[in-house]
Amino acid sequence: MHAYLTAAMFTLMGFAFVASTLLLSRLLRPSAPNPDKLETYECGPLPVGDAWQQFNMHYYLFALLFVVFDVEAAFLYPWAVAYKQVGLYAVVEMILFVGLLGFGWAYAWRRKALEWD
Amino acid sequence: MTAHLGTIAFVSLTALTILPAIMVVSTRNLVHAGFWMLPCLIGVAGFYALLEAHFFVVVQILIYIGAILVLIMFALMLTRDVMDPKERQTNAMGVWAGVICGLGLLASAHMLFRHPWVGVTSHPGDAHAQTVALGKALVTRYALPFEAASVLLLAALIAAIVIAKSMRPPAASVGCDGEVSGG
Repeated sequence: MHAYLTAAMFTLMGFAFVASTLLLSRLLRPSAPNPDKLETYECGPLPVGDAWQQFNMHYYLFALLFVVFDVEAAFLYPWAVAYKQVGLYAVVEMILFVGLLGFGWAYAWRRKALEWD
Repeated sequence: MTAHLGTIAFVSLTALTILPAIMVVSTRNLVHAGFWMLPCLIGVAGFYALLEAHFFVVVQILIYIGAILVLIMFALMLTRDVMDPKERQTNAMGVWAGVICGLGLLASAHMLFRHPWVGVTSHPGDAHAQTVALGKALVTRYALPFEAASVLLLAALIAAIVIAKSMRPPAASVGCDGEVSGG
């Protein structure tokens, strides 16, 4: 519990530090509003259109692949801590678990889901 | 002192969870709604911390904030019309949905008040003991749900690939004629 309290205090102080720094700079800096300052910065050139547009489906596929293997990693942690006490049975089960997902990964590879066309 | 601290933590975490949750459903901008989910999910992680379920704190941050939120943001980027902040956010069934949800809320509140709550007397073990117990339960008692989760993830993965691959890219792309469709 104490560790979380430390983390919470750290977070609060982080927010307080950022807020006080911004407040201090607001008090010190000169104010000169200009519409050009609110332009989207795109490495110098003027931005064309806006960012509110449909993105390629491929991004979703990558995100989903990431979610699947992130969940797998989350399952690996408690298994890795406990497998020594369960023995071969646990190893076989994890091989099955990872193997099934490995099949999905191989399928993604075969269907060229990981490539930009 | 410790009891007060727990109450303060509970109240602040509730605020941290519920206020952003209200923002998620009320903000006009879907991407902003997606970002408001972040403090909401952090609040839920805080509840796990309060319950001393250490492994779930990490999993909540790793999976829900690190992966599912990213997936939701990408899903929002795929949509076109709903991204428009000027789009109407209610429809004709809104009132009925509200009535049904309200009844559901009343029913669950009723059940909650009728339930005889038993105070937890035993103290949860330390982080290592908890994780060992969880790992053991996963491969022994809950082995079937554990493997079923793998099949579920596999189904989601393959379905997404099939759908994405059967769709043509939105913009006309060149040099993809070698792709064999179907199968």
